[in-house]
Amino acid sequence: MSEPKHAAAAAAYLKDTAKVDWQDETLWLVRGKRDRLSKELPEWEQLREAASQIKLYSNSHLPELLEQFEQKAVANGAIVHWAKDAEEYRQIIGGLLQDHGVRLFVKSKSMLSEECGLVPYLKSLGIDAVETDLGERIIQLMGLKPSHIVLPAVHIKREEVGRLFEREMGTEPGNSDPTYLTHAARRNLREYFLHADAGMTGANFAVASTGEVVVCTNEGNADMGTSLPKLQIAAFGIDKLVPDRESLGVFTRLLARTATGQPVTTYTTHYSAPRPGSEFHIVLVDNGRSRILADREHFRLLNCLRCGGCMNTCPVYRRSGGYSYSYFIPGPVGINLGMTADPKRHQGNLSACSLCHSCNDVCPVKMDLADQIYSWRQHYHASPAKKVLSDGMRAVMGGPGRFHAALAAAPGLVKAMKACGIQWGSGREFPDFAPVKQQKKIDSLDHEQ
Amino acid sequence: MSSKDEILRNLRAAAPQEFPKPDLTALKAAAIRYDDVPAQFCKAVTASGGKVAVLESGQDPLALAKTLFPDTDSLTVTEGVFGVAENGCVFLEEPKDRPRADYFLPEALVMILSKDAIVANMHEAYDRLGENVTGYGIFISGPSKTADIEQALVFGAHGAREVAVLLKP
Amino acid sequence: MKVALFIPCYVRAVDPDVIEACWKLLRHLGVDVEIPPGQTCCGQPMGNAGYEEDTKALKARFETLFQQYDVIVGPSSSCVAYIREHYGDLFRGRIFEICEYIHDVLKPESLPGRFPHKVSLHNSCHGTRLAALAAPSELNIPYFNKLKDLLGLIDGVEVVEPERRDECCGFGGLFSVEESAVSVKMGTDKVRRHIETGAEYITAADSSCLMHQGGIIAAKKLPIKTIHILKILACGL
Repeated sequence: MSEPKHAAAAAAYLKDTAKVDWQDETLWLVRGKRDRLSKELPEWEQLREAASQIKLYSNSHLPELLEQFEQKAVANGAIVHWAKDAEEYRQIIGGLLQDHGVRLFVKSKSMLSEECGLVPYLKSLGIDAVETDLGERIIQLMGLKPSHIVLPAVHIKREEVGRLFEREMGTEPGNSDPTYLTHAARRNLREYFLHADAGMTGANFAVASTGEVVVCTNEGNADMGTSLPKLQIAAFGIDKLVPDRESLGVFTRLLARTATGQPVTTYTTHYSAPRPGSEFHIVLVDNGRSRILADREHFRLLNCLRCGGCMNTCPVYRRSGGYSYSYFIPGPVGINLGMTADPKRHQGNLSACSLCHSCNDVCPVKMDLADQIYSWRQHYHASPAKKVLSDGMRAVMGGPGRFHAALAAAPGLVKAMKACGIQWGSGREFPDFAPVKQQKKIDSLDHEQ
Repeated sequence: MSSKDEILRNLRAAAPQEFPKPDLTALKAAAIRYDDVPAQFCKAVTASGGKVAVLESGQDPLALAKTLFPDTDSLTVTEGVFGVAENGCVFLEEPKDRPRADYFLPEALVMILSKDAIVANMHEAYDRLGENVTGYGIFISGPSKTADIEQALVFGAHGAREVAVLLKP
Repeated sequence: MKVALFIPCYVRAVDPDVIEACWKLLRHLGVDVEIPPGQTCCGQPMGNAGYEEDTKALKARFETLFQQYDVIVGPSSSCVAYIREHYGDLFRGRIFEICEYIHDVLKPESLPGRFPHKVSLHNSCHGTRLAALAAPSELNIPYFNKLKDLLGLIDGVEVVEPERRDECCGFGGLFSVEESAVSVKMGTDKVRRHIETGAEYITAADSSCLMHQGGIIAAKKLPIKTIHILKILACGL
């Protein structure tokens, strides 16, 4: 069978067992922290239910919530822009930076900027966009893409960071102590913060009732990046809207507990008015979200908080790494979001799910991720060759006569295959099929009284 | 047609099933509370990597802060509005006489908080804030941190390396 | 009340003794169970692979065979969950995984038999997360495990759960073929964690997971065996 994209990439990735086990353990540790914290709150399941309902409410009332948000944001002194797609998003931000004569631009982590290819675009305009989240910065300096949406450099070893920082920041050769390296990056990035002409964030939430943008980080990079320059930009997908601050109470309790196993991020910042003497621009971006909303089977994907919880729990993601997926967001939600973006291009990810349903139970906004993967599979296929197997099975199962004939042949067939060294994938034997006599015994049971 | 109109038109045309706004009363009533709210708050601040000290009436906060962080002169001392017991957050508003950056640039951030201004959880926190807009507000829990290198926890990524809460009895 | 025993295709193929154990257990517990002849497959493997549309004839066959019964029980949480989810309302409320049925409906206080062995309980994904045989580790709900409860009725058996008690073993139907490298790695990790408990057997309510883990045990000649839970529960019958 010709291998689908994810399966082939995963098989290659799995050759380095030590690295695979290290990644798996690292991510499982995060899942474990999430489990412990979620169990400290007796109301956890109620919280998830409320979060899901709030998201369904806000996503089904986006026109009025967006207009309310805009009206409040303008009243607060912000300038609001609307971008229907990635191109318009890039042009708005590029235009703002050019109009303000920005040469050095600091940004905090934003999945939307990855989605819309912002940094390469700005580079083409001659604007240096510096990622300031430590993980993102490591990845940027290495010329790579994030392998996880919350832990972008989770696949990089400390020694690799040590060698990178030695080259880029002049750290001591051979020193790969995380504290040492983190503080070296602190000093290095502080120069960028102090001299940046503009700073940008995404948003974790945008509150319709107040017109404020809420950004959650542990490092404080978003706060540094927005506290000094005269131009602040917050750009985010329209699915980040929540109705009011009461809702924030629900989401801020779930987000960090699920994402990293902390009760809250270090900084939960609410931006509404520009700092004195500066400008605050907000860019509301659709880029396919209204299309997802119109999709009856998949509109629940707009619930997503981008917490990464489904990745940490996914047994396939943990053993195949972020780069085995063709979409920039990997794991259960990435399989689904990739399909909403470009199904033909990303159907090769659909095989990366054993339908274990763990993601559904971890998801803080109760997305039915596994069921949605099942649903995509009914229309798109990671490998067309799989149909041969399915058709074969269906033909055999078409009637008891055929089924029993196949079962009668199976024990000998499997024996012959095993004798030839044919396995059910490398490292796994086919099961022994029961001898016909044993199978037939079932049919006589009904007559034994 | 402007992009705004086009987006809104597409969203209206998407016409998803309408979901009602949930009533959060039951959730908020069920949310975790603590017998000793200040004690839980102190526990949460410590767990987030911060320090807690008691500020006696008449005591100089700056002097106390310096005893907590004797190795640095790079220090911001500020008034917190209220604290949150479940996660050790202190809510700060736009600083009055200095730039916002003073919360993040110094090596140590010291927040003064009244012991009776601590709520149990984030629901109570946002109820306390209401829907009023003040321009800027931030919850801070402990020092700046990262675990981006091999998941090893390191304090002092970009913001304050050290944080303390001074509790006024 | 008419009770039918549903025989999942792969159970018939690889471990038909499980069906005999089902039969004995139900009879012992006073259920006059029938085995409708002519059973083949519920369509789950094709559905999960993306070809549910092609399984209409299989569904129709299943419906014809079983619709006259008040209760349908089957030894596969995965197939039972599939029928609940993909067969509309036809079997809603009357199809059960057999351990679920024994635990929740028949509620025996004792079972004869002795099984003096240490077993590591494999909590399958669909048994745990879809058929509610145990509390999923992800959820903040009180711990329960119906399989553990039932094993507690058998004398001498020591039941343990592996680390990561309900992480997927990597079978997943055609997933095991399509993503065979990941599937084998998941299974290898799972079997290792079962072995680390010191158990002699891995036991489960799903033959599919046992078949997959058994294949890894055989290929790597690992020091543990698999046994379907019904064979333990029926060991004294």
